[in-house]
Formats: sequence, C-alpha cells, structure tokens
Amino acid sequence: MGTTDAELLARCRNGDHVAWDMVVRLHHSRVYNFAYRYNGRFDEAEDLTQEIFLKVYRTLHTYKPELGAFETWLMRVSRNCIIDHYRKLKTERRQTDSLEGEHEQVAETGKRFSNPAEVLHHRELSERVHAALVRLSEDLREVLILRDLEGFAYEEIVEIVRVPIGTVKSRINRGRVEMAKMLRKEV
Amino acid sequence: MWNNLKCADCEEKLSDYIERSLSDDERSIVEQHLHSCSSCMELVSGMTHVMAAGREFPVHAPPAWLATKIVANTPKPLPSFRSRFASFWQSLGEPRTALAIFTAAIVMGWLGGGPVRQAVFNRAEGVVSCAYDHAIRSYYRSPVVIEIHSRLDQLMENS
Repeated sequence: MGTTDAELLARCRNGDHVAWDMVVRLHHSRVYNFAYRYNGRFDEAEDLTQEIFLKVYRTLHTYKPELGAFETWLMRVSRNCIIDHYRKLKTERRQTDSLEGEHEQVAETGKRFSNPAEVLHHRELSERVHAALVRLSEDLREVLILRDLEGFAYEEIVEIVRVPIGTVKSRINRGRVEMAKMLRKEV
Repeated sequence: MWNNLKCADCEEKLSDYIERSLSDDERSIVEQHLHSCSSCMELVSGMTHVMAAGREFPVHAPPAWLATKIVANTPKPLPSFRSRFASFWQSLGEPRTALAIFTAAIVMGWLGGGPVRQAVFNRAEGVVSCAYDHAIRSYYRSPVVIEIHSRLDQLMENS
C-alpha cells in the first residue's frame, strides 16, 4: 500500500466520500475476482463485493496501518464475509453447478490469446481447475486461492486466515495434492 | 525416517519440493523417492500443473456499474454539529440569504407602526405558547412518565 492509499483511508475516516469512491475503484476488481474464485458465480460475486465494501466502510476505523498492509486487511474482511455467506448457502444448493453463467467472460479471456484453439483450451483448463477448486473443502480452498490464484505470500495468508504458518503450508499442500488427484481422475 | 520415505510422507513434502524450500538433503531424499515412484512423480506433475493454472487464471473485469453502485449504497456520514453550525453561518453570508434578511427588515420597518408589529409579536407568542402546551401535554401523557409517577406514588404510600 502506498502513501496515496494511506491518505485516502485517512480521508475516508473523516467522511470524505470522494476518497471512498477512489478506494472502491482501486480495490473492487480484486475483491470481485476473489469472491468469484471462491464461489464460482458472477451474480454472487457482485452481491458479495457490495456487501464486503459496506462492511469495510463500517469497520474502517478498526484498520491499523502499523499492523499490516490495507490489502491484507481488506482480504481478511473479504474472506470472513465470503465464508459467512458461503455457510448460509451451503445447505441450499450443490456446488457442482457453480460455473453457470460464465459464458459472457469468453471475450475477456480472448483478449490474452489470439488463437481461437488456444482460447478454447485455456478456457477448458480454467473451467476444470475451477470446478475442482470449488469441490475442495472450505479450509483448503481458501488458502489455495490466496496462494496460487491471488499470489499472497505465506505470511500474508497467516494474517488473513489467522492460523499458524505450519497449518497454512499443510493446507496448501493438501489442497494441491487433492486438486491434482481430482484432475488426474478426469483425464 | 527419511531414508525409507513412504508415499504419504513424500506427499507432505511435495509443495516444499516444488517451491524449492527444502534443504539439499531433504530434496535429494524426495528426488530419490520420486525416481522410484511413478505415482508420486505423476502427482508432482499434476501439482505443478495446478499451480501454473492458478497463475494463468483469468482475471474478470467487474461490471462497470458495480463500483458506482457500491459508492451510492454507502451511507453518508451525518455532518458534525460544528460543521452544521459553520454551514449555517456560511449560508447567512450568501447573497440570497442576506438579501432576504435585508428585505424582511425593510418591510418590517416600512410596516412600522405598533398595530402590525404587535400583531406579529402576538402571533409569534401564540405559536410558542401553543408548542409549549403541546410539549407539556405530550410529556405527561407519555407511558414512561405515567409509569414513573405511579411508581413514585406507590413508594410514597408505602413509606
């Protein structure tokens, strides 16, 4: 987090709505993708992103810059919100139908791969990996998303999930092993 | 324990092996096991594949309206007393307000005489006393006050 963010957050605490607008626009994409990766649904990711930012705004005074980066704190709030939401929905539906409604995102992927065959292959791979990911248990999935998809360091994941580093490493390893086994079975 | 590494033990070390965070000795023991175990070797390949897929995972652009909606739905904080007070004084200095006050003073002065001024004061006094009566009635009719009074009466009777 740079000085600009620190200044923006200080202004937000004083009720500056323009600063809040800037904070939202800087970080909402990451929160949105995190929520989507966790649940695999765009509509839920949209609702969750709104819910998360409202919670962030209400609890902004609890963030202490000296205790860590704003992004780490933001991801911890996001993670807690997502888990609460996920637990409420857990009994309502199966997770295997979770990749519905993704078709409109093909164009986004297409920007990075010019060859249509490559686009299709990448899309299939992403779908398979994501389908395996949402079948993982909650404990394993969250750390795997944070590490392999979001690129957080182990120490940052410890801050976000609030479990010892040994547990984080063990969960990440188990998550990768289970994912590899699931994908191997599908081939 | 490391010399005869079993598959379950090897599995526990695979992320560290892939991320190159094992010591040289540990690494060579895991490699020995991998050379002799096709299943674990296949697992390493699968895990590497999973990690690569994670890095290549598409980043989706949120809908354009999302940030605007979030900001619009964020409750605006109530202004502090000091800022409201400052805003009031600031509004007094605005040309439109100043003109209105000035005009009112002129009209009052022009109307001048006692009867009109007296009528205005009488009307104002009537409004104030009406509001006062209303407040007093509301106070004595409120359930909380009635309850407090009845309790006090009971206490006085008991004592």
